[in-house]
Amino acid sequence: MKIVAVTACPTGIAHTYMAAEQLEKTARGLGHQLRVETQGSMGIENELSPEEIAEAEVAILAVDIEVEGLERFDRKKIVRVSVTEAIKNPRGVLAKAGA
Amino acid sequence: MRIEHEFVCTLANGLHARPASLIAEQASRFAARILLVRRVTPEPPPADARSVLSVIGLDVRQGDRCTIRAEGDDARPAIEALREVIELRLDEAEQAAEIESARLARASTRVPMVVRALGARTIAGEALCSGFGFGEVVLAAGLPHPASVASAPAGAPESEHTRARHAIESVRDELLARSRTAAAPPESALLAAHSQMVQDPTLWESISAALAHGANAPQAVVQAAATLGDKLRSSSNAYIRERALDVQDIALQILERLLPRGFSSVPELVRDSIVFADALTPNQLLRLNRAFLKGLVLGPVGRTSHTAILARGFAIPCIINVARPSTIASPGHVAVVDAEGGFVIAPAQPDVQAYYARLQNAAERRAARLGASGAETACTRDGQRLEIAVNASTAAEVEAGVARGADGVGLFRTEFLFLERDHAPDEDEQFTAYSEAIHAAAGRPIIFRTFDIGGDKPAPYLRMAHEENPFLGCRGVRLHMRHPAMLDVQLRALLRAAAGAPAGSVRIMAPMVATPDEASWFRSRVTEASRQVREAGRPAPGQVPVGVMIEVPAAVHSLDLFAPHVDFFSIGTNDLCQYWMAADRGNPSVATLNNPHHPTFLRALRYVVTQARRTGKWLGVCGEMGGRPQDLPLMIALGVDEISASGSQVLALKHLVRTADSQRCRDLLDRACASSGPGAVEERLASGSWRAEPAPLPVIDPACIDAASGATSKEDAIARAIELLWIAGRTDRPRDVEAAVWAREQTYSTGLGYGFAIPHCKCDAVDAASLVVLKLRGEVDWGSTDGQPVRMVLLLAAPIAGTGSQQHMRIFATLARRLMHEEFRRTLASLTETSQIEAVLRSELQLN
Repeated sequence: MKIVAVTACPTGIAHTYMAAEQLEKTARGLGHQLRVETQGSMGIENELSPEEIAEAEVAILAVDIEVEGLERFDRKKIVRVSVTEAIKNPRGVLAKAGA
Repeated sequence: MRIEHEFVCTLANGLHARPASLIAEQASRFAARILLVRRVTPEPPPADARSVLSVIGLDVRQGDRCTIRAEGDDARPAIEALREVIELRLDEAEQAAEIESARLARASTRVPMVVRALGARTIAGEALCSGFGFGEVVLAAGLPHPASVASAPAGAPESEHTRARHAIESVRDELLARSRTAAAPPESALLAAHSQMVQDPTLWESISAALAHGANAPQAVVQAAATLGDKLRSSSNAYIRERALDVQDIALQILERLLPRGFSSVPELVRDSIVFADALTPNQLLRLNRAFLKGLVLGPVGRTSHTAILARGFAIPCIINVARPSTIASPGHVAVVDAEGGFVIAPAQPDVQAYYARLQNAAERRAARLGASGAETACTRDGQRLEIAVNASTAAEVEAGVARGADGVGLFRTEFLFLERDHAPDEDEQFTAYSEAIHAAAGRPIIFRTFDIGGDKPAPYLRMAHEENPFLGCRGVRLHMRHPAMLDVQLRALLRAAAGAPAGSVRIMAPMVATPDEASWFRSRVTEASRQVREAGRPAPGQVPVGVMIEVPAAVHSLDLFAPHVDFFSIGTNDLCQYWMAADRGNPSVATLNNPHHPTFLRALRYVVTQARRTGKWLGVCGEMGGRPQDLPLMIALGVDEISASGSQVLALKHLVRTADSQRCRDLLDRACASSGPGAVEERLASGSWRAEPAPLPVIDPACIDAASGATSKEDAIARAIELLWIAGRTDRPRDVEAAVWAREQTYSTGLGYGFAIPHCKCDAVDAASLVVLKLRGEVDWGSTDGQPVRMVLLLAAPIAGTGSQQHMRIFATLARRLMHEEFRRTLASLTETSQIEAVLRSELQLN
C-alpha cells in the first residue's frame, strides 16, 4: 500500500531522522511504498507533493512538536504517534496504519 | 586668613575612601586648619580634611553641597590645591568604581548535573572572579573579642599610650616600605592608602579615648576599630560600609605588634588551601602565600572593597556573600570553590575531588592546545600581520604579558618609579628596574617611555608650579627640557640596562612631543647619555632606536619633519583624542566629545598613518584604543605595525586578529570615516562585518573521541564529553553547553537502545558543529527505551547558525539514520582505537 509520513522532534537534530529511517526501512521490508517528509533543523526535506498525499491511503504523523502543513492531511486517515514510538516500534506503528 | 571654596559633590558614590584620601593627602601638605563642611540640614559637625576617616565619616553623597574652609597663613594656596583635586582628580576614582560595579552582573548559582549526581553538599554564594580551585580548609581569624585581649593588665596610662603609639608607627613604616617594593597597583596603591589610614587622627583620638577609660593598649585598639567600624558600616553608602574592613585590617596589624605571643591574623599555608573567613582584610589577603592559595570563601564583601579588588587582581577563584564561612567547614577537610557556578563544596568527598582534579587537567590541556598557536604573531585571515604587545609599568607585568603571548612591550611607563615618593630614583635604582623589565621581555622589543610626569601625574619633589591647566602645561618632554639632569640619569640607566639585550630590542620614546626641535633635542640627549656611559667605562648598546609619541595635534602634520630625528612613532590615542576634540578626558560633562569614534578623530588617525608610511618609519599604537577588542578592526584597517594592550587582552586580541579580514576592516573604516557620528561608527563595529568567513572545523575531530572512557554515570559521561569539546576549543562555555544538553534530556531520554545514547543540543555556546564519541569501559544507565545500559555515547553539538551549518546538520542526520542499522552499530561497538572510530565515521558519513 501507499503511505505518507511526517517526522519531527524537539531539536530536529537526530530523532526526526531516526524515525524516518525506521519507518522507511520497515515499510520496505513489508513491501509497502512509504514516503517520509522530515521537518528538522534543516527545515522541510523530501516535501510530500499533493499527488503523493492524494494517492496515499494513510498518513503517519510521528511528531513531538507542532508541524507545518497539517491541513494537507485534512481529508486523510491519520495515524498520530510519538517520534520515540516510531523509532522503537515501527512495525507496530505501521500496523496501526493498517499496513 | 580664612578662605572658603564651595562645591557640589558629583561622584555617584559620594566622597568614599579614594577621593577622601586624595583630599586628606593634599590637605596635610599645608599648615592651615582645613575643614570640610557638608551643607545639609541639620548640618553635621565639620570634618578635619586631613583625616581620611573623618572625611569618609561625613558621608558626603552625590549632589551634596559642601564647603572647604581653610584658616591660616597658607590658606589661599591650600584652597587652590584642594580645588584642583576636587575638580580634576576625584572623577578618576569614580570611573574605577563604575567599572567595578559593571562587572557585578553575572552572579547566579549553577551547580553542574555531574556535581549534583555525586550528592555533594553545595553552599551558594556569589562568584567574584571565575575559575575553580580545591584544597585544604584553612580558617582566617577576624578581630578578637576585647575580652580575649584583656588578660594583660593595663600599665600606667602613659606607658600604654606609648606602646600604642610605637605599634602604630611600626605598622606605618612597614606599610610604607612594602608599598615601595610592591609590584604594582592595586597592591602598591592599597598599601600606600593604608599607611595613610593608620596615621589618621580620628583613629588615634578613638584609641586615646579608650586608653583614658583605663583600657590597655590592645583593648583600646580593638575598641577603637569596633567603634569606627560601626560608624562606617552605618553609612548609607555601600562603598563606605566596605571601608570598615580596612579599619579592621589596620587594627589587626597594630594588634600583632601589641600581642607578640604568637598572635597572627594570617594563617600559614603549607599546601593547596581554600581560605574561609567571615571577613578577610586586604592585608591578610596580601600576606597569604599565594602559591598555595587556591580559593577564597568570604562573608559579606562588596565588589568594590579592596579585598575584592585584590582577589580579582590575583585571579583567585572566590565566592563571596556566604553566610558565616568560618562555621561551615572544618580545618583539615578538603573544600572546592567553583566560581564558574557560584558555589562552595565543603567538605568535598573523594569523588568530587576527583572530578575537579580532572577538570583542572582539562583546563591545562585546553590551555596547552590553544596556547600552542595562540602565542604566535597574529595575521588576519588574508595575511595582514599585526603585532600585539603589552603595556606595563613593572617587570612582573612584562613577564605576565610575555607568558600570555605578547610580541613585545609597546609601552613601558617609567613614571611609576617616580611617583608617590619624596625624591627621584637614582641611576642604579632605575638601572635595576629597567634591567628586570628587559630580562622579563626575554629578547622581545620593549619601548620605554621616559617619565611622563605632569598633567594628572605630579611628582612633589619637582616643585612644579601650580598650573591653571596642567594638561596643556609643562609635562612630558617639556618637563624633560626643564629638568635635563633628571632625564640624563634616566637615559643613562636605560642605556646601561639595554647593553645586555639584543641590538635594537630596547627602544626609547619621548612623550608629549609637539615640534621637530623637541625630537631633535631628545635625540641629542640620548646620544650624549650614551657618550657618558661609555666614558664611565660601562658597556653601552650600539644601537637604541629613539621614537616619539604622537599625541599632540601639532605633531600630526609634521611627521616628515620629525623623520630625520626619530626611528619610530607611537600614537597615544588617549591624549591625542582629548587634544583633538578639545575635551578634557577627566571631565564627565564633555565625555561624549572625548570619544575616539568621532569620524574626525578616525580621519586624523588615518592621516597620521598615511604620513608615517611615507617616512617609512615603524608605527605603533599605545593608547587605550589599541587595546580594546571592540576597536581592533579599526587598528587592522589603519595598518599599524603594532598595538599595545593590557596583558589580559593579548590572547583575546590575537584570536580576534585571526578571525578578521583586512579588506573588510578597511571597508569598515572608510564607512566609519564617512559616518555622521560616533554612534553610527560603534554600530558598524558591533555588526561584525569585518570578520572573515570562519574556517570550517571538521565535525569529526580525533580530539573529541575517547575510545576508553571511564565515565561512571550518565551525568559523568555528558560532563566528560563536553570537557572534550572544551579542550578542543569548540566551546568557551562548557557549563552552558551542559545546561542545553540536560534541557534536551528532560524532554525524553536520548538513550537509543542497543547500548547507544545520542545526547545533543543546539546552542550559541557551541562554536562549531561537533561530534563527540565516548566508548565506555563500563556501562551506565541512560533511561533508554529498551531498558538496556549504554556503552557508547555520541554527543552531537550544533551551533545556532553559521556557515556550512546545513552541511553539518546533514552529517548529523545521516549519522542518526545510520544508527538505525544494526550492522553499523555492531561495527562501531567493536572498535577499540580512536583512529578506527574516526575512520569508520568518516567513511560511513561520506566525509572523505
